[in-house]
Amino acid sequence: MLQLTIDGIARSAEPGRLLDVLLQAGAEVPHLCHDPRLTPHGGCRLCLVEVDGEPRPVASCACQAEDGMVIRTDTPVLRALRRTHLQLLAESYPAAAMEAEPQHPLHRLFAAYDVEPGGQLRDGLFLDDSHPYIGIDMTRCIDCQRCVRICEQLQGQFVWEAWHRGAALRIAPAHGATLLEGGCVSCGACVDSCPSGALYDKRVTVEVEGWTRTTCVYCAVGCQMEVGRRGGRVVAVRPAASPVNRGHLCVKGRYAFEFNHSPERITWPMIRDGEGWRRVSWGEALDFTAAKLRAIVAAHGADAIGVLGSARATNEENYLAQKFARVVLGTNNVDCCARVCHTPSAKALKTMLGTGAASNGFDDIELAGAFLICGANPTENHPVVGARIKQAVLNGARLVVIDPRRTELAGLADVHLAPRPGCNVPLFNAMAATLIEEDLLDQAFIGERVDGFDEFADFIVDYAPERVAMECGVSAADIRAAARLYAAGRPSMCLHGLGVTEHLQGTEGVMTLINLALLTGNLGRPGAGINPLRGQNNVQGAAHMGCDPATLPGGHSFKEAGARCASVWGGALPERHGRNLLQMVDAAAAGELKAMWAFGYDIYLSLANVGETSRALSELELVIVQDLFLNETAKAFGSVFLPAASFFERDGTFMNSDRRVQRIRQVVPAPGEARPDWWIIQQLAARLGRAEGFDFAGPQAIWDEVRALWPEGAGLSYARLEHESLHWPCPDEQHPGTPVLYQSSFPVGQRAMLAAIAYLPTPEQTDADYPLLLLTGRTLYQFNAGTMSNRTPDTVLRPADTLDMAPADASRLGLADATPVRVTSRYGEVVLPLRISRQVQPGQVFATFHRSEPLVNRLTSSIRDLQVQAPEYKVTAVRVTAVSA
Amino acid sequence: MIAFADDTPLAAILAEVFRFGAGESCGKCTPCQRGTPQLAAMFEAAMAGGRIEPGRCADLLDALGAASLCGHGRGLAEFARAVQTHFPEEWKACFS
Ligand code: SF4
Ligand code: SF4
Ligand code: SF4
Ligand code: FES
Repeated sequence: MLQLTIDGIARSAEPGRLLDVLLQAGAEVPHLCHDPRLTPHGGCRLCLVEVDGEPRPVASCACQAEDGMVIRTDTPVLRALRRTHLQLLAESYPAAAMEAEPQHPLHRLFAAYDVEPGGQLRDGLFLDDSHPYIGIDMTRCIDCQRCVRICEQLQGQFVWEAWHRGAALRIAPAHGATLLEGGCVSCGACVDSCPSGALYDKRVTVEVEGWTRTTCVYCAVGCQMEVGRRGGRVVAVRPAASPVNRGHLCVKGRYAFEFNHSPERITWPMIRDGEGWRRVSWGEALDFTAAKLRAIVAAHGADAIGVLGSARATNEENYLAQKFARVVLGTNNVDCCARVCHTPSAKALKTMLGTGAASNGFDDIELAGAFLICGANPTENHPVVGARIKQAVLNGARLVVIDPRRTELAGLADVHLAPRPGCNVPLFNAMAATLIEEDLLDQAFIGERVDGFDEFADFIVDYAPERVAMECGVSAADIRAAARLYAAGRPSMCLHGLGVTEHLQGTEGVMTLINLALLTGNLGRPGAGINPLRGQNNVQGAAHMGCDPATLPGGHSFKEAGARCASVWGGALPERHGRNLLQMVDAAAAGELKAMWAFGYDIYLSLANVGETSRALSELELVIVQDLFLNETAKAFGSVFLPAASFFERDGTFMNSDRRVQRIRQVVPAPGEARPDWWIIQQLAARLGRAEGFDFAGPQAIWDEVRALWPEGAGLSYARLEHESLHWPCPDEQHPGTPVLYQSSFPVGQRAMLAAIAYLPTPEQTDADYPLLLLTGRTLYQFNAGTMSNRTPDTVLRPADTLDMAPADASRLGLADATPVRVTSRYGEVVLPLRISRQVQPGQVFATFHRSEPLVNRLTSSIRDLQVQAPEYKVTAVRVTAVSA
Repeated sequence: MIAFADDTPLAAILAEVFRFGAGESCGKCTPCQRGTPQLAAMFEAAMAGGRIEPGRCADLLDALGAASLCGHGRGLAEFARAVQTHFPEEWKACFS
């Protein structure tokens, strides 16, 4: 603690920037170019203070508080200097802006110093009205350069530039005629920082009534944000300070919120009536559903029903969903969308190490010496983490990217390996072979923590880079270079995505990555680890709460937690193995499954091989869809529609990708008769005669039951979550949480076993008829099935799904950019606009899948991960032809 | 370095130094970026026989001298103050 005298009063303060210390102490020091997220700038000269011993006033934003400092923050001299500066800034400032918005902080500052805008507008100002979200009015610019700096320092995009100097200085994009041409990714950071209103949120047109802090609903980075409301509507979002996002958001969290008030929201329950839908009361909808479920159990048994939890729902709701399946219905047929993304990661990590989640936290990004990024495109799909990785790399961390496409991070990488899709296992094995052959091992770690080394070393010689390079489509030298960087960078952090998991050998692909961490001692230490970048906001939580046929709440197996659950739930658990999502679909096709209840999940749109999904779902007697919108599953197959409240409309918790449990809070009331998922489950349980056990007053009461069942989560009380960002395991209320797993041992034991995984090529191969390999994936501006993001102005930024193709293939096939092309696989066909892109390699094409039309999953195959059956979305042989007129 | 003839009037020298100073300003801090061109314009006006408003000039020089970010702005202010000290008559003439 420092001892300071501030305006004659003795104070103690934590060390830090003097301005922050003064503001903390309640001193009113004006400041315009300061932003705590950025390095000091010292440009506006408003934060001047007098410090004893200094010959002239000091810019408090640009110096550190020091012990013993005697500071005056408000003297006639300071006021005069500040006034002069404000006058200078106000000369070119438009008077109309001040009149229109007297409460704007800059305008209040002008008024407090009795300064009036002069309105002498400057020439040569940047003009651009083309961005759907970001408004630009450079007549208000005061040249503080916060936009320039935050775009560089937080987003790493380098869009803005201070052009020219002196009085001629103007702020404009460094490249291109518009913000978007200049490479803007629409994160909104510059808008958030701009103190003058020169940059503003175009779509925020009303004054915010109040702000509520909550967690982003899009990806599993779990950014904290504040949501502004007015008149029962969400009208604005701004970033919150939190260790996860450090005051940053991406375009989806910051701007893609208007879906919430889309006219397409369904706000009352409906029952299918022939080809149409009939509006019904909740009473009728619930009676109907309960009666159908009861009849199906009576006729076919409980295992004829499948329940699907949702990444969109809270932990509390997913917990209740699986409890409903197991306790009310009596089946383990319960799963969630984790099945189609990272269940392979959870399975591999749980099997080899003991915990089916990321080993390290996002705060380790700044500690890593090197990154190994595999099959993930974080700058688009986990943008805030992507930006942090980018900053770390710009600050000197080494980077290996393994991805068939030249993603943005691949462009920055020291080594970019672009393997043929489907070759992860031989490639990761070749890296392991290099580590052993070149003795790049952490011998001490292997000695203490790793089993099976000798057998593994014998096995892996067959995968020497020179043996497999050809098959993988990369050079042996590059494989070796990647392995060396990973070993030398220690601590090296591995982050992987669906490019690893959505394969025939998805789970095994992750296991071969874990081998690399075990061999190099990159586990159990900060800045290292094996970290799946979970896709959706609460996908980690949904599965962890037990929406998985083989998993009980807390991510535990039946053996680990069965007795505990049975005692809390007051009855034996169903003994028969449950079906996972894909097995449910198969069982439906075979006529064995009769009903499915899906919430917040458009199964039809998102499962691979639409033809097969469609045949299966059409066999079902009862399809209960619980969602915000009449999604594609509901339209084609739904029997009853239950309108859900959105995440802006309820309370609870989400679990993010790095094992943090974070609160979501109700911002606005749910529209019409929409209800939170937990309420709906509770009502159905009561109608099926199991009111007790579901009789919770609200999310917090549900969560307390979860904590009672999940020892590693027991310390995560709502009271603590109010003000702490905690990673589980957190076994009691005094525990600080565990950002880094496996520091001294693994849950599987003191030592973990290396996995000798042989390569098994996928049967999905190219041939003369289907000569190209199709990968599918996401883009920055859309999210998965597009249920939410397609109902926002993000569609302006990304109007359609596209097929990306290398220039060489396009010219060989005579296909022109932006023209529709027919893509045909062995399973189906779609027409997509072509986008010629240098990101994809010749011989491969890449499609996004955010829309119901064209439905890209018509193309994907029924091949699944060998262990947990995630579909192989990442490898489909196709041909591409012109669409004849 | 700026060269002047012996008989260059001080107002012209001041105008030239501030014009040069404004052109060399990096543009980062307010008093230098926005104040220097105003001072240049003031002395240019004085050269042409106009009168500088003394309070405003003093405020701008105070800000430049006490609060600019680097030696560029401070040096310009010191130069003007030196003229004021050593050539009080000619300095005063700019304000009347
Ligand atoms: S919105 Fe983000 S990326 Fe775009 S210019 Fe502003 S800071 Fe840069
Ligand atoms: S646009 Fe805003 S943030 Fe950027 S320099 Fe101007 S006032 Fe500062
Ligand atoms: S990075 Fe993910 S969690 Fe953060 S704002 Fe974007 S979508 Fe939301
Ligand atoms: S806030 Fe300190 S100089 Fe601008």
